[in-house]
Amino acid sequence: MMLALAFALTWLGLAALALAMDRHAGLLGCRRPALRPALRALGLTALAAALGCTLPCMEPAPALATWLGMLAPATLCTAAMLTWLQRPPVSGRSASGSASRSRRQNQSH
Amino acid sequence: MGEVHTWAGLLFGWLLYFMFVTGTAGYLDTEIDRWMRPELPVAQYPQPGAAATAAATQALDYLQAQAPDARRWSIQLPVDRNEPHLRVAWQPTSGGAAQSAWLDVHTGAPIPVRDTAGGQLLYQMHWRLHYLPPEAAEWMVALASMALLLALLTGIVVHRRFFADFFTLRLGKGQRSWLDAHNLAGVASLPFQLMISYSGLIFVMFSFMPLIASAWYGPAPGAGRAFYAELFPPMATALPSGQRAAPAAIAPILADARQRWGGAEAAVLEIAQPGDARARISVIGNFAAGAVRSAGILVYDGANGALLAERPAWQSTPRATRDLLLGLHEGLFAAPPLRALYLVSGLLGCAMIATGMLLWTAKRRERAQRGPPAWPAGLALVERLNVAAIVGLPVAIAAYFWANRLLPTDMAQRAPLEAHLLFAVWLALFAHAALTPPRRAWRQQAWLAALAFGALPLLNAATTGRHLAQSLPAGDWVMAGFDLAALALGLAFALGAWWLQRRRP
Repeated sequence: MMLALAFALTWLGLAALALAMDRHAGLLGCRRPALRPALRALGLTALAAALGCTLPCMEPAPALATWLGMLAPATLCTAAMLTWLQRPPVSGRSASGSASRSRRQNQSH
Repeated sequence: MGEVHTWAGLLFGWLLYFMFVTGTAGYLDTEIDRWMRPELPVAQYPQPGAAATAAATQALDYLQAQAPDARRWSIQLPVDRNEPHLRVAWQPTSGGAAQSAWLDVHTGAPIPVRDTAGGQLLYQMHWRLHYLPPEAAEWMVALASMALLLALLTGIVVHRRFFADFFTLRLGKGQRSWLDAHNLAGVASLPFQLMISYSGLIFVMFSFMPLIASAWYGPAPGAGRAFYAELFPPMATALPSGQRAAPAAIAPILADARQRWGGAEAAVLEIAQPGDARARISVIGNFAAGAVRSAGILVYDGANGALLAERPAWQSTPRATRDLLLGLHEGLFAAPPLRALYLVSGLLGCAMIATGMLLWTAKRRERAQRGPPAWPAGLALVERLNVAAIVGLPVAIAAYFWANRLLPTDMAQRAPLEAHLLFAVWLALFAHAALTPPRRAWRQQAWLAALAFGALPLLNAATTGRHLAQSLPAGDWVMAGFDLAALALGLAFALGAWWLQRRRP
């Protein structure tokens, strides 16, 4: 149970760190730079909390290994989520054309 | 830097992929063992306290009846997932290979099992490389680990947008997509990859860097032995006296060990020259109890039960550092959640290497469309080797499982034949890839892999009584887990094959 929570926190933390990055910031619908430090702080706090969740479950060494291990599937989940959210709309347009179109839309917000 | 990454990766890529696939399977070695020996009942472990003493007594009775004149006995008590069954082995006086048997943990009766090397073979293959002589295999593995470490470090340096591209996966863009997948697989599991390549080198450090020992012990051939004798000093050894003596009772010995180790149970008993007046009983703790891979050893007199020598689990900090790295590499201590994460990281390692190899060809294929390729024969060679290495190896491993179920159980030389079949199938797939255009070879071998894994649960149902319809209701998660994992792998390969099929050229 605690480990499931730890994984959820790891995922949340990495997702927050990703949204604080230039490339993925548009997904939130606004590009307010003021949000970045808050997202970054949220991400780091969530990652630290995840480590805090693994520690009571086992000895410190396996707990640290588990936390580091969780980063791998959580990174994959975050990347898959971002890829899915940024997927080109299903239409006859070429992939590159629709990508640049969505980027323009994001900037106009 | 980029060139080093490319060529270290390419030259050692296939060997590293083989090591990663078989090594990742090794994280489930005993689960595979148990699927491959369906005769063994559902494991019951741990057996602490009085149950451990009873199991040890029954194992000793069996060995006394079966091999009273053996040079050496060893008893593996069912302590954890790494050793789930009561197992005995003995070294015949006449020399020859060690014999072993599985015993019922309650009655001590031997359980006849088919002759197979099981999941241990897959695990050991990842550094023994099966057919090669041990020294050659060790050197090749050491060089490959070094190349991996080099490729990882240069990979971090040449990955110019390490942080900016951290979560980036752009699909459907040819070479760019392979690069994203390669980077993502590597970056996501980077702590594991660095740990596994570095600790892999620690395993072979005495062979890989022999000059350091030679600097202190001299270059003479016998000097190595002196070094090892000091590093791993023998404990209270004795030559056989030739006089028989009644063996000491095991219960007080196990009770003494338990008390000295603060209640921790013994995992292994080793009896040297059993029945002799100078018999020695070594009681060994559980190496997998923690991340530091070490265990206490107590040596008792086999005739009167007196304690003769003791080695604590913790001897020195440098040694514990080495044991920690080895322990992290093997992951024997890992409980199911961490074991699952080891598996994910291992698979990501496989994916990192495979996508790296594919990237090499994708890059040159795209360049070849613009003008004549720099090295067309090399591109064709790598493209074809990639097919049989990347998809062919899983098919060959599936063939090993098929052989386990289809070869007659009473066959002589059964276990070696299972392994030969693995490599024979792999060789056939290399031949297939050499003779078939790469695009078609990918598709055909991926469908073959889907079929070979997806049908394993059916094969299990046809040849044993421990199929999914039995194992799932009974809560036999090892048997059911293997079948379900085979189904999942089959499905994954089928998806891959389907994707290859509908992809336009």
